[in-house]
Amino acid sequence: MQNKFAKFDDFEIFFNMSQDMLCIAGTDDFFKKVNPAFRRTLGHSDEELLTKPFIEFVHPDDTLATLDKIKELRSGSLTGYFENRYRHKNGSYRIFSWSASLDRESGGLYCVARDLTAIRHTESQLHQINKALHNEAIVAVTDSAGTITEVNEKFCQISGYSEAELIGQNHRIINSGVHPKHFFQQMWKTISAGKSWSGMIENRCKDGTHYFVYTIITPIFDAQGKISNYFWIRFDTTKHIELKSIFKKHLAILNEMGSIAKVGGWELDIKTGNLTWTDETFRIFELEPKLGYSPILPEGLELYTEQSKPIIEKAINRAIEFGESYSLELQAKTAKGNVLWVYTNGKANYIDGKIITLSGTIQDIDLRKINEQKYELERMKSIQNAKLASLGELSAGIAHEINNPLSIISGIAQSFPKFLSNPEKLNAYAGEIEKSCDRISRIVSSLKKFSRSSDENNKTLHCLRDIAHEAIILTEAKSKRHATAVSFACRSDALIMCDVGEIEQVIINLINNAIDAVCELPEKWVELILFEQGNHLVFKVRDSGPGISPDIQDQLFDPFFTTKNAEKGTGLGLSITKGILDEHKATISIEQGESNTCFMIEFEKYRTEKNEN
Amino acid sequence: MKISVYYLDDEEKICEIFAEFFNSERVQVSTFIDANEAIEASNKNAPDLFFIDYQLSGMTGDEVAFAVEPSIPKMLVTGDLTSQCKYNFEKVIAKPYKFSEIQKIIDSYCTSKPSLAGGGFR
Repeated sequence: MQNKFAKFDDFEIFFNMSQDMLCIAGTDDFFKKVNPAFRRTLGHSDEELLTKPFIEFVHPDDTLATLDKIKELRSGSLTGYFENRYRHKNGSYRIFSWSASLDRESGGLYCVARDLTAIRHTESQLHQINKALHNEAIVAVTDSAGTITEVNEKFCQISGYSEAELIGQNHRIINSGVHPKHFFQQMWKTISAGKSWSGMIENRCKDGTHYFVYTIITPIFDAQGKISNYFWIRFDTTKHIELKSIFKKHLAILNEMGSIAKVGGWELDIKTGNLTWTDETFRIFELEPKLGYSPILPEGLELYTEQSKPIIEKAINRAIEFGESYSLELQAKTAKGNVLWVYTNGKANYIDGKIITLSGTIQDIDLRKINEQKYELERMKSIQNAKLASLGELSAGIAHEINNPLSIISGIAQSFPKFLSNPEKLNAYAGEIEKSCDRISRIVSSLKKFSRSSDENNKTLHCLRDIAHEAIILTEAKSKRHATAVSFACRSDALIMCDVGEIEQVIINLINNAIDAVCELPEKWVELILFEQGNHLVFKVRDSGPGISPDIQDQLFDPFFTTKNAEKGTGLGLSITKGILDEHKATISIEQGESNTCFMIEFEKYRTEKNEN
Repeated sequence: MKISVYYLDDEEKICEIFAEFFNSERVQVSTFIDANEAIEASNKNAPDLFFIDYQLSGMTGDEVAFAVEPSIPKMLVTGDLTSQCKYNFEKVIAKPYKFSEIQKIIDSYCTSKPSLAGGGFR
């Protein structure tokens, strides 16, 4: 029976339809016949291919080798596959793999060529990737049982073992023992099922130290579809792990510090509106620090009271828009509904000239604020008490000052009948009555002014000279009693912004102190001096005393400091005096270089009283 | 014999008015505004009655009282009744006082004192 495919024409079909290139090369080194695949692969026309010596299409670097091969073939030896590069019409080269046979009769070479360009390209890529991996990563190959068959230089470096020590060992050699058994069981289960696996592993060097690697394991299959090897690719992350641990430690320290100082930190990502808080910030707002939880700006703003919310909102907006820093004391409203005072500040952070984040601190100052308010209340109470005590001391003198003029008036009235007929006497005594009435009025008026309660923060303009005069009137009784002359050298009528009751209190205190200080001395006087010096108004109280010793001077204005015994209460300690003056932005000091005791107060001048005439 | 009355007060006008009213044929008023002067005069010529103001310049009324002859009857005149006074005065008089009250004191002294026959000033 005839094989219906074995016709001579079939070979022609083979020749024309073959994807591989088929050709016959003659003894003259020209192609005698080429199949269509040649044309398709190389782009040259048949004519071009047949009219040039075929060596001309070969890559210059391959011509010598090609010619050698041809010689070999012609001499009759069998050659295997031979590769060279042939030039495409567009100038690029294709890689051909040849197999050729000599026809002894005609001397022609019958050749088959396959275009391996794509395959070679892929192979080259693979090779380059492999090379890169071997150079940059830690690479090992094991067989399917986990025995090491191949390692690269980096593996040896990081593990501390030489190549000889590793090849043939089971991969277990680098186990650190840190990971639990089921960790590796899971890993092997995955890769032996044909899937790749990746994860962080802690391994052990030859010398016992540990290192961390990010590991990728991939199974390699043979032609039968069975796993022949495992490919282990690793990257050293030890530094990364160390940094993470240092970072965690720092974060812990930061949070610890924050918790001790009761200062919380915050950061706002302007683009996302996400807030990052330290533990203390969560605590201040009475929220549980949740890992990974990032509150957003509106939530943060809700944690302030109705009055405080617009203030903080405005500050944050200004910081975002203009980069303006802020520093505020506000009332926060915690998640539990408690109201407390906080101090918070914020500043803008720039990257490449743009504001990317805001950050700052927040501090629980509730205790401080409450104490401040309590202190202020106590201070006002002290001043009031001191005033009352002062009044007590003044009252003895005042009683005297009122009763003497009263006695004069009463005496004259009772003597009236006696000199009715004496017009001269009448006139004189009428004058005395008037004088006495004036004296009484003056004291009453001074008393009224003095007894006025101190309004908080109620400062008005006053002439310091006038205040000093009032103080002198109220202390007249004491100064007379102690036969101490009180003089006033006034060279200014300037005004100051002050609480008149408090300043009068201060001056009375200084005068009383001075009178007490000199009462045992042979020479007793007190001098008040008032003058202007630049922007300041200077008020001095000088007495005939010998001065205050330097070691006491420092303590003079401390609370509870006194050189007097308990009975001789002066009513207003120097510390309260200083407190009042501090609040008026005035200073008090002992004048240095003076042989006498001299207290010096400096006020900020408001403006000089304009003289009308 | 005229009764000698000393009046000590640092307020001059008060002394003047007192002297003006109480000086008479029976009563010789001597006024002082300075405590030391008064003490000196008293030691030279002891008065029969001594009115002393409490609030004086330089010292208090009871300091003066301690400084003069203890047998002299002394009256304290004061504008402040609550003031602590160490000396045991015969009487304490509040300012402003009624002249009639002073008169009563002077009169009671006159009646209790026997008339001096001859002798000299003490």
